[in-house]
Amino acid sequence: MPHRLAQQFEQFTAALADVTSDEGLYELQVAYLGKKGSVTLLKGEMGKIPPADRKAFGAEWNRVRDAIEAALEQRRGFLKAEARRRDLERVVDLTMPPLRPPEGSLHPLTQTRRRLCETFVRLGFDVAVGPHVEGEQFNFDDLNVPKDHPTRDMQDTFFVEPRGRGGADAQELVLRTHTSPVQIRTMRTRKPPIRIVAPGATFRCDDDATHSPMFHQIEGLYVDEGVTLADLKATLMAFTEDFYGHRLDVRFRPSFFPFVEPGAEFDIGCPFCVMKGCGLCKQTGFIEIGGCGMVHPRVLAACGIDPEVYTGWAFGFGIDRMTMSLHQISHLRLMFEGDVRFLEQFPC
Amino acid sequence: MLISYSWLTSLMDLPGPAPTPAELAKLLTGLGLEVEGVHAKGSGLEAIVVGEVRGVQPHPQSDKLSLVELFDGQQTLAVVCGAANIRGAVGGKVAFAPIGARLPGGLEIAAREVRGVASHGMICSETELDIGGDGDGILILPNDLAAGASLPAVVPGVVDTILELGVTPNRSDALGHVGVARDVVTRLRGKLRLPALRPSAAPDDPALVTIAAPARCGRYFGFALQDVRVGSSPLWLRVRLHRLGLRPISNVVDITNFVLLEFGQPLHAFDRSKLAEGRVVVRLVHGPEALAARSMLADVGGATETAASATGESLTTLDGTARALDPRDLVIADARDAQALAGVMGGARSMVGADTREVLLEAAWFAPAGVRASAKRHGLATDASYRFERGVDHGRGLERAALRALNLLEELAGGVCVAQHEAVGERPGTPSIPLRRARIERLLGVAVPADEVAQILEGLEIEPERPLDWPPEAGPVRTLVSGVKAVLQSFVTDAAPEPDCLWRPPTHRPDLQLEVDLIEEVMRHHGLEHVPARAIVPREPRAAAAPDPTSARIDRLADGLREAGLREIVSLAFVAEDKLRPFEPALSASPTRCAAPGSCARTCSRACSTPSPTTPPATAARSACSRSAASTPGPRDRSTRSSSPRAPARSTSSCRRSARSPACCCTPGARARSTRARSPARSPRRSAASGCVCTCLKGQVCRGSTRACRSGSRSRPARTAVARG
Repeated sequence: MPHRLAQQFEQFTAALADVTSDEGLYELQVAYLGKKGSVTLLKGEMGKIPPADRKAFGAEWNRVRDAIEAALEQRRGFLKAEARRRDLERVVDLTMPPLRPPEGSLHPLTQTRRRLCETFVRLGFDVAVGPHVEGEQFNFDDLNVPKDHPTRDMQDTFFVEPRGRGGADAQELVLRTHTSPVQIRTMRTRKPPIRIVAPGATFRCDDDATHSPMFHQIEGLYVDEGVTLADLKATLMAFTEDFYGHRLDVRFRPSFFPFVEPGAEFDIGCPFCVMKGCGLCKQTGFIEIGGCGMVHPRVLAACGIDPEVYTGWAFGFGIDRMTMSLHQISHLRLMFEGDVRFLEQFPC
Repeated sequence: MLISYSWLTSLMDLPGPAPTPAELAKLLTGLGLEVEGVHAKGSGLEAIVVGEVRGVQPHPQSDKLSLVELFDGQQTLAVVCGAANIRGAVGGKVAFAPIGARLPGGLEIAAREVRGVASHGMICSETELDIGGDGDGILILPNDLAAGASLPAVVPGVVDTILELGVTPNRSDALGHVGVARDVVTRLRGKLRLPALRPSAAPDDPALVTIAAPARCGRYFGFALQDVRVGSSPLWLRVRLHRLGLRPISNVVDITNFVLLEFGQPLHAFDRSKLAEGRVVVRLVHGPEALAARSMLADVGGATETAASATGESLTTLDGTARALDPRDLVIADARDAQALAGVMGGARSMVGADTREVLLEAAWFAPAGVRASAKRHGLATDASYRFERGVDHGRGLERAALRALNLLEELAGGVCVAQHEAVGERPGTPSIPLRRARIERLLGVAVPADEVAQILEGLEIEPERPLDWPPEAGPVRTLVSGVKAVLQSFVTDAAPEPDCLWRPPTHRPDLQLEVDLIEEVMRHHGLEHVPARAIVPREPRAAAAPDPTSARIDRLADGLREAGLREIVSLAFVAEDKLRPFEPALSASPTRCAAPGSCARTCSRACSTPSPTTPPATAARSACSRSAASTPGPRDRSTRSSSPRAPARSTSSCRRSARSPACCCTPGARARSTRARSPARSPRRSAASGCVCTCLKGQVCRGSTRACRSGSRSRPARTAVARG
């Protein structure tokens, strides 16, 4: 009998070494000292041994029980210390931000367009939009582009097919060749003062290395009493400063567009070579931003605005070229290819 | 438009020193004639002198070479020359490059031995000097030049600067040197110096020119010349043409080209002996009926009809192409057949050739729209049609150009004018344009002094019809009544008072029609840079309009999708039809189709940027999708992202290899590359999330799988969309 008790104790000691958790300890305690534990059961067999040996056995049993309990307690303490040590060992960077899925990006053109709009909204402009498919009246006629003007050729303009639908009087539909029809739409529906910018996609039949059949413009229009060319200059200079973040050399030079008179081209000093001449500005020191000028009286009249009372200015800038100049993108086509390696470079 | 600096300055009388080419370029750009390039020509040619050939011996060692005794003004030198034509040039003058001279090709002349004989310099050809296209023999100079004179000093234009002008379509007057010079002298307060012109004393012969289509031809000068000797033009004329990119042909043709460049007036010279009855008729093309009728008449008369055909008239133009003419084409015909396509190109039959003795010189004004239509119909764009389309001068400029060409033909080709006639059709009228001074300030925001306005407009030959009656700046007191009236008017309204003055623009400026056009002229010459930048205070506080709801929704969507890890792409709104075919439902919903001109093969607008069988396409007409978003697996690992260098966009040349087929928001090329770029450690959750979402112009969100996903990698299941509308 004492032999079995010692055996149980040895078994217990072996099992205890493998226990790594409180639950394990409890299970072990139940297995040996519980109501039906193996050691407890041995106590029940006390009657089977000779009475002379009973006292010694009882003492021995008590010693084993105490030893088991002490070992359990010690192991419990050890595990606790171990857990604590592990806890203390672990280094947590509480400043580390939580993991988020990686962000996508907006297309550089969208980024530029939004920046342009924000800038002009700060300067007191509303943002207007218009459809991509326009009638010839808004795209050409009302903008003082004569019927036989070369730009109205099929070579330059996308005509929507089938042509000549609805008889001879019905106007042809075109994909708008510029954002200027938004001027017409705005002036026909609103009374001066009008201060809008209109960004959007435009379409011309140019499909080569430096031209895309779809490109983007932003149109500006200000019509009110007493609007002058001097104000156009001031506005565009304020815009450049705000948009590029610092004062740049700007250049206005007379030019020609059917819907403005006087008309001008607006150039900015190349922000990259600082007007020394580089590949981006084709060695001229200036980058062409777009056309501008005083709204032609015929355009105002076509929209029911009296050119004797009101004057106005307008501009049209190429968003694609501005984006290219902002990010030093060398090829227009890169923008429309959807290459991820290109898009990744414009996080926002 | 190429402009020769030396030619331009020879047309100007300036109060101060002439501007340098660089200054002139800046000035022209400031006047709205943008200078796109400045090219110095003939640098180094200052060293070239006129040499006199005193004797020519055969080279002792060679059959082809000659040994020339050359007098360079100071001494006689021995020069070896390889050109065959030197042997006939004894006693003549040649262009001689002395030792040390540097030719435009980069060759530096040094004393050297040619087959055992020392040669002290080089006798040059036109091509070696880059002043002409003739490289077959040496350049023989006129005999009256003094030996030893510097070549550029005796032949203008040898050393020159060529300015490349971008002329806007409204400025047809600037398509000639005189027009450009007029702008410059007005700006610099100088005077135009036109070449002296001798009026023709030849008798008028009304039979010479008939205008049968007066609506299409406003004015036609015809000059009949005899005893014309066709030959090569003098050197100065050849140099001028060569510098401006034209090939010298013969004196008669060169003169018409020269006057074209000088006055911007296209001219034509016919061989008059080849014209039936030696006269011209400006008429529309005869249709088949007219031809048939004429042919019958001719048969009755016993003459043979050569040009009659069942289809109508035809003409072989100077470029050697036989063209079937359209009844809407205007032609210059002789008594029988078409001889030139009016304003576009002459005919081969009446072309001036080496044996031409009689010339009919044409100087005319044709209606721009008609010339444009003819040129387009026949696919011909010539120097002449380019100018007629934009509108040439039908007034004094035409007369001057005609006389200039006539004088030169008499001078340089020995022609004698025996008859002339001016026929007149419908000339466009010139408007009287009221100009209010107050209006100038109201439009430009700057007050331009009255005398400056007058000086500018009169410099541009815009003539005051009613005397200038503007209140002086601070001059003597005007009459009480008009003074009070002006003051009252300025109080009552700030609208401008009565027109101060009426102006009549010159015939060379058909673009000047309205008051604003004159104001633009004032602005150009006052200097756009002198218009101040002065912001006006808005009349009333701005009531901000509500932003367009669709655009706002698209923006919000784009932001949301970006945060969800998608990348926005912008692809073309229209595609080739076969690219759209996989998306049968979208195609059958009749996408907007465009006429496909030239190289542009994309004709179908996408009904939606990711056509998908489950998505009903948006109404076709206005749904050209421009924007779409494609999810792209970006580098997940933070450290990779921060360390990945921002490669310069221009260096990703490999990007450009991709197939350009933006049928769908995710091109196969981009798709494939992004797959390749994926790191092996990527979590499956991420790659499963790749898909495609697009936003239509109408703000609708279409869900679907990308084409690349559907047709691309078969091993992968099709991705589905991740966005909610």
